[in-house]
Formats: sequence, structure tokens, C-alpha cells
Amino acid sequence: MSTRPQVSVHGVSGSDAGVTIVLPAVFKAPIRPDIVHSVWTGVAKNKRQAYAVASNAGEQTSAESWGTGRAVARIPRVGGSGTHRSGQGAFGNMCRGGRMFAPTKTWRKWHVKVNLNEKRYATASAIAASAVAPLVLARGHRVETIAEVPLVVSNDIESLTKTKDAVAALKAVGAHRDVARVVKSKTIRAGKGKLRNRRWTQRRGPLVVYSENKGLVKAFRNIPGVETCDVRHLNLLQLAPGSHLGRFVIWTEGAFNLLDNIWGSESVASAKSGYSLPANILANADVSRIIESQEIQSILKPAKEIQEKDIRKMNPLKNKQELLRLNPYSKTFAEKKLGSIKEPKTKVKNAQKAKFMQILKDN
Amino acid sequence: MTNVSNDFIWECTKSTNAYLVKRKGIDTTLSRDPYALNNLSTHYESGLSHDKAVGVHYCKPSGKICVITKVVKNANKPAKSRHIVEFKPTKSSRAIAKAVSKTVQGYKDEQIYDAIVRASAIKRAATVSKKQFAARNRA
Repeated sequence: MSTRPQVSVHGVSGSDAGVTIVLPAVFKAPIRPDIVHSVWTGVAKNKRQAYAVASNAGEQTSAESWGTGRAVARIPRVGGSGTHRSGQGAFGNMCRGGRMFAPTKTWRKWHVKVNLNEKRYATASAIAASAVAPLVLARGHRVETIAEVPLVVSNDIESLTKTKDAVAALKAVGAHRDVARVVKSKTIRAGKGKLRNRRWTQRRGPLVVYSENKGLVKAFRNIPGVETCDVRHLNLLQLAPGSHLGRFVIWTEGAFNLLDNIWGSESVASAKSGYSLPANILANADVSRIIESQEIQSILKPAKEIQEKDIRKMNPLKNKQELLRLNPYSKTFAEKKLGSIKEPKTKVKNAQKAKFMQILKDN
Repeated sequence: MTNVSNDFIWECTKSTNAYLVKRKGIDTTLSRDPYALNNLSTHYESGLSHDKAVGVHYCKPSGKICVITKVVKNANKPAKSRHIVEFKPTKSSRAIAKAVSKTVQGYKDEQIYDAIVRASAIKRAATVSKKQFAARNRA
């Protein structure tokens, strides 16, 4: 794992900037969808706000049960007379105007604690997955026109201040198709969510990761689907939305260079105190290639001959090959037409007659 | 990437990917993967989980039939990872079948048959019958 590939830096105008960077060590972290999913389900809950029904909802009557003998159910009933309410059932979750079943409370457990090391593992996994083109494509990102995965853009992009320039940069780099996909995807949400300030749904576009904000955040913030993030505060919710790995990430050169300092590598210690990246169980994950390798193949015993099971039975009377297999003589038998040679006719009738006469004679 | 194998990618993407199509009444899961020759969502057909993959398509404006293949050395360079061979619409279906098999041969032999079948089907669908029947008034 000592050698890591080079990644080239692309200019804001789309041209190759002529600079190459060694791929940071985070990108070699194990990709673990299971860990990412479990961490994501925890972390995604931590933005929730408490809600509940009013604590006294449905409990604001002095209703009491009428007891038995009045030929009505024994549910508490509103007393008095003079309004329609009197005599109606109250309190129960089955009653009109009653409280709900198990009223929601604000002291529900809204937030979930996730172990720090697990969160870091998941984030490192998500970063590594963002550099695997098939996973980015599988998430639905339109990255067919970008030059490279991971996509690193020169630091000029950090000092863009106008959205117009930001859009131009995205177009130059080939990332604008993904924005177009976001724009096209905007629809009204199905269900109640649209009454609760979540009216529109749309896809997620590229995530721009920077090291220094010199106007970049404001330049990009009004482009649909595009999100920005500081490398020092990378977030699993942005790197793997919906816990699906492979977010399309656009790194600035500075941000990409910082990754080794933040996460650590073979030579550099991580900025997170006492942290080292999770190691892969296998240095080479391509198991079939390992099996086929010369080293393995050379020490294997020669393959045993596999005896055929379940041989299909053929009818030798219909299948000539099968007949030949069972009876090699059948060939000459057929060639000489031995089957159709007629027996010499004997005078059976006369012979029988003679035999009969002989018996008569003997008697 | 040495820590990612094709088998792993298939395991990651088989249940959730952007190409997946599920429909009521159809038991098999279908795929919009440009490299899925039979439009099925299977490991064998998936272009995501293979270094080498073949796709056959119909280009609408030009009427051409094109064969796309993945360029192995440009696996992490999406803009250059697709090699396209186009066939003119005037080519006969036999000639197209031959050309398709020639393109795929030596690249991914096990998919030659599938590629020819798809190309032929596209050609058949694209061919307009020359016979024009006038609508008759049925009394």
C-alpha cells in the first residue's frame, strides 16, 4: 500500500493545470457500507427538533364514567346538559375530542450518540467511496463528462465570488451536467411533508470541498443541489446522503492537499489526536485475481478429475451414438444389414405332417 | 483502486443504484445501465462492476447503431472511459451483426452473442417497412 496513484489538478477553465498530487491515504480506507449505514442512521437523527401534542390535549373535561346500568359504554362521559357535548364520551383515544393514544412527549429520545471512532471510520469510508467512479455513477451523479475521479480543481475556484463564474467553472470542469440533473429533478414532495416546510424535493448535486473560503461559499450557494464544505469539517450526511456511498465531490487543490494532514498517512500523523486510519484486511481486494495468481496456482495440487454426475440417459434405440457406445458391434451389424437377412425357408408344414405320420406309424 | 474489487462494487450497488428499475408485475429487476445488453440488473450485465463492458445503442438523430465499450486504463477518467464505434444506418443487418461481433471479439468474447442480438433487434426496430398501405374505408 505504499504506492498511491497520482491525481492531476484541473484548472478553473477546464484545462489540465499541470500539477499532480499523490492520492491522499484516506482514499485507501476500507469502504464499509454497513458501518456507513449504521452511523448515518444515528447521525441523521441528531438534527431533529422536539415536537409533541399539548400535554393536556383531550383531558380538559370533568368527565366521569356513568358506571353500569345506563345501557351505555362505561367510558367517561361529559356531564351536565344544555350542550351537545354533554353525555358524549371523553378522554379515551377512541373518543371524538379525546386525547390521542400514547400522547407524544417532548422528552422522547431525539438524539443518538454515535461512537467517535465509528463516525470517523464512516466518514473515511465515504471519502474513499467518492473516488470510485462506479459508485459515484451508481448514486446517479452525472459525471460522464468530468476528467477524473476524484476531481481536483485548482485553488482559483476558492476565490470565485460571483455565481455566474461558479457556474462557468462547473461547466468547464464538466460537472454542470450534474447540476442540470438536479434542476430537472425538482418536484413537489409526496405526502404530508409538503405541509411541514419540506415542500420540494430535489436530487443532490456536487459537493465542493474547500480549504479556504475566499468567496467560494457565496458564489456556489445559489446553484441548485451544489453544497460546499470545509475539509476540516467533512460530514457524513453530505458525503453519503441517504447512506448511499459515492457522492460526487469536487476538491480544491488546497483541500486535497490537507487530507493527509487531517486523516494521516503512512508518513504524516493525523491532526485528530491519536487517530490512525482503519486498515484494510486485504491489501488487494480482488479475490479472483489472487486465486488466479502465479503464487497461489504454483502451490496448488492439480485439479481432480470431476466425475460426471447425473448423466442424461438416452434411448439407444433412437439415439445412434448411444447405441454405438453400448454396442460397438451395431455398426457392422447395420452395415452388413444382418438384421434384415431372411432365414432360409424350411418346409415346416410338411415336416410337421411327416412327424405326425411317424407317430401314427409307431402306434 | 486496489481496495475495491468488481465483486465488491456489485455487492454495494446491486440493491440500490441509479439504473435499477423495478415494476409491479415484473419479477425480475431491470436496469437502465448503458452496458446492460439485456436490460437486466445482474452482476453479469452490470457495467458498473466490470472493467470491461459492452453496450449497444441506437443514436436517435443520426439513426446510427453504436457499440460502446469501457476503456480499462481510463477507469477513473469518466470523460475518456467510453469508446464508441458507430455503424451507418444504411448497413444491412447482417453486415451490422458482423461488424458488432468484430468489435466485441477479443475484448469480451462471452458477450458477442448478446451484443449481436441487441444490435439486430435495434436494426429491426429502426427499419421502416417500405410497403405503405392506404387506409381503406370499410363499409
